[in-house]
Amino acid sequence: MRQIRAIACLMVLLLVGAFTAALAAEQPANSTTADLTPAELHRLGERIYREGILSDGTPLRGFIRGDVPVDSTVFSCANCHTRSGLGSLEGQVASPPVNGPNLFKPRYLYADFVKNTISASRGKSRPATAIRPAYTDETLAAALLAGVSATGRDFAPIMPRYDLGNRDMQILISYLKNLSSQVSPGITDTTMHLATIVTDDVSATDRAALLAPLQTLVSINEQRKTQRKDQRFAKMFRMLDNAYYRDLSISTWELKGEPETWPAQLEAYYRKEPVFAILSGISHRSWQPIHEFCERHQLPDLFPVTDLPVISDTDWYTMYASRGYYGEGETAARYVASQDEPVKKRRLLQIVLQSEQGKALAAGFDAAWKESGSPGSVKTIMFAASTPPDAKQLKALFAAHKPTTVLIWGGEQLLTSLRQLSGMKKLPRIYLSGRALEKNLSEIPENLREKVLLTYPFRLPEDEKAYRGFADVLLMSRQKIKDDQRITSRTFSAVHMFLQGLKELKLDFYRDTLLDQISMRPDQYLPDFERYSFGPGQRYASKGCYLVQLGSGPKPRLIKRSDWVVF
Amino acid sequence: MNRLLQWILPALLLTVCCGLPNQASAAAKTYQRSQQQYQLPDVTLVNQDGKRVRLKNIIDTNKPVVVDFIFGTCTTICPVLSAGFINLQNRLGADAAKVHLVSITIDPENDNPKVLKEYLKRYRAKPGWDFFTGSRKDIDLVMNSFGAYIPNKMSHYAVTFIHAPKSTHWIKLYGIMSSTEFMEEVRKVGL
Repeated sequence: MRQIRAIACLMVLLLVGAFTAALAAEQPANSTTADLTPAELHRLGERIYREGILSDGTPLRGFIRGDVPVDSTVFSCANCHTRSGLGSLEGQVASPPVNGPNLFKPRYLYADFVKNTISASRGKSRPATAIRPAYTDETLAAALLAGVSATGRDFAPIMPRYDLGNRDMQILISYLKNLSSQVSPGITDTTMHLATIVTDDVSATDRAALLAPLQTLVSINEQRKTQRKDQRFAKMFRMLDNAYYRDLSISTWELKGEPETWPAQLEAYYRKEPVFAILSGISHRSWQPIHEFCERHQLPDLFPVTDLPVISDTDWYTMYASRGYYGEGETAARYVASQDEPVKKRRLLQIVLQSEQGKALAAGFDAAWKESGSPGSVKTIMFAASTPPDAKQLKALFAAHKPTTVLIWGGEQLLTSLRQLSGMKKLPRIYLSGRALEKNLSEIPENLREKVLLTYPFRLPEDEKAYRGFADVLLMSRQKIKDDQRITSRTFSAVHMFLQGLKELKLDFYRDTLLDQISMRPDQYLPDFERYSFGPGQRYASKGCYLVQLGSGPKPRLIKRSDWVVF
Repeated sequence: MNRLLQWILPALLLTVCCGLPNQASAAAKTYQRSQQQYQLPDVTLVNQDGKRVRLKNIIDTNKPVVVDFIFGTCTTICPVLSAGFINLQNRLGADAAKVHLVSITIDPENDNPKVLKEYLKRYRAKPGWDFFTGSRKDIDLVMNSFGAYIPNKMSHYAVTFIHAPKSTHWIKLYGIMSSTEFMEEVRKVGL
C-alpha cells in the first residue's frame, strides 16, 4: 500500500514538474520585447492582428482544419474577430470577442450583469457560473498555438493554430490586452454625443432638410426614455439591452469659408466636444477635408449627404451612401466598354467642365476605362466651369474628332448648348450625368433624347414611391420640410443605418465596433438608392447605377437601359 | 477524504494530460457527402479578367470542375474555402491545371472583376482557379439551381460541388474538409 502511495506521489510530482516545464517553455520572457517602446509595441501588435504580418515582416503562419496550411495575410485575427475585436457571427461560424476586457475576465452567458444573476426565492440571488474562466498570458498562448480554450475545450477546426514565436506572442498578447479596452470618447454615463456637419455653401432650406430627421431621432429617443420607466414596457427595454438608454445629443458643426480652413475649424469643435461619431452632414464641396479629419481622429462619419466622396479601398472611418459622381463615371465607362462594337472603330470624346462635379465624373470614367483594358481611343477636352462650350464649339469638336461616343461631364451649365444641338443631324451617342441634371431632365430636347444616355444613380421614380412613403411616415411627417434634393431622405437612411449599428453595439461603446456592426448588416432597401449593401470593410453602400433614356413629353419617363450593376 | 483526494487527483491529472491530445488527433469527419443532380441555368458570368463566359462552357469541359460560393470581403468561411482551393493547387503542383476550380461570388454588387482579380492575387491563385461574378438575377439563378441560395451573405455556409467530366451528377460536399479529404474527393472523380 505504502509503495503504491509512493508511486502515486512520484507521479504527481512528475506531472507537476512537466506542467511547470511546459508553462515555462510557453511563458514569454519579458525581455523579448524590452527593446520596444510602447508605441512600437502597439504598432507591431496591430500589424499582426490586422494584417497577419509578424514583427520581422514575414507572414503569420498557421493551420486550419488540422492540415490546411494558411499564411495569415488572409487569416489575420481581425479577419474574423473584426477590427474592434468584438467578434462576428457569419453563417454557422461564431467568432467570439477577443478584446482585452473580454479575454481577461471570466465569460458569462450574457454581457449584462443583471441577466447573469440567478434569482432564488424571496429576493435572494447569486451570480451565475462563468462559462469560461479568465485567460492568462499562458492559457492565451496555448489557445493561439494549440487551439485549446481556457476551459480545456478544442476550438472549432477553422480557428487557425498559429505558429507564433515568443516575441510575436508577447507583442500580440500585449495588443489584445489594450484592444477595445477603453470606452471611446463621446460617451458619458447618460449621453452619447454626436455631431453633424454643415458647410456654408448649403442653403438654409437644405440645412433644415438635413436637420429635421436628426431632430426627430433625438425626440424619438426621448420618448423611449419615458416609456422605459413605464412598468408595461420595462421588460421589453431590458431585452433590447442597449444604447438607446442614453440620451442622444447631436451638435451641428458649421464650417465656414474655404475648404483649406475646415480642418482647423473641425479640430476646434472636436477639442470642445469630442463626439462618438459624425452622423450624416452636408456639403456641395468635396467631402475630402472632413473625411481626412475623421481618419486622423479615428472618428466614424456615417453616410454624409455628398456626391463628392473620397474614393479609397483602404480608408476606414467614413461610410458613404454611394460613390457619387465618381461612381456614375465608372458606370458609363463599363457600359460603353461592354457594348458590342468593334474596338478599333470606337472613338470616344470626353468633354469635361473643370468643376468638382465634372472632375469627379471624369476621374471615375478614366479609372474604370483603364480597368476595362481601354477598349478604344479616348480624347479628353477640358473647359473651365465658368465657360462651358456652346453648341458651335461642340459641333466643331464633333467634326474634328468624329467620335462614335461623346461624354459630357458637367451640370446645368450645359443645358443651353444641349438645346442648341437638337437640330444637328448625325449626332454621336451622348452620355450625361443624371444626378447632375436631375432637376432639369425635361429640358433635354425631345429630338435629342434618342441619342442621349444618362447615368442615373437612384431607384427609378416609378419604383420610388413606396420607399419615400416609408421615410415620410417615420421621420418627416411632423416637419414639413421642402426637400427636392434628396437630403431629408438620405439623412433618414443615415439615421436608419446608425440605429441598426446602435442596436448591435449594445454597451460596447467602441467606435470601431459601431463600424464593424454596420458593415455586417444584410442588404437594406431605403429611399433613393436601389439597394444599400454591406460587407466587412466596404465603405460605399450603394454599388449600382442605371443607364437610362428619356421618354417623350414634358415629364419624360426614365427607361432602363442597363442592370443596376454594370460590369 | 484526504486519502480519497490523494488518489483521485493524480488520476484526474493523468486523464487530463493523456486524454486531450488523443481527442484532438481523432477529429471526426466534419463534412457530409452526397450525390446530386442539378439543372443549371443558361446564364453568362463574368470572370476576373472581365471576360463573359457561359456557365455551360465553364462546366462542360473534359476536366473535373470544383465549384464554391464565396465573396471578396467575406471574413469567416470564404477564406477557409479559398485556403482549401489554394492548398489543393499547391499539392497538385504541376497537375494544378488538370482540375478547374470555380468560385462564384454571392456579392455581385461589390465583386466586380477588379475585386475578383485582387482576391485571387491575395491567395496567390495559379491558373486553373477562376472567380466569377454576374448580374444579381443570374447569380441568384445559379445559387438556386445548386440548391444553395443564400439570401443574406452574412448567413453564408460552406458547401463545395464537384463535377466529373461528362458526368450527369454532382458530388455535394457540405462542411469544411481537411486538405487530405479534399484531395481524396477530387481524386475520386477521376483526376
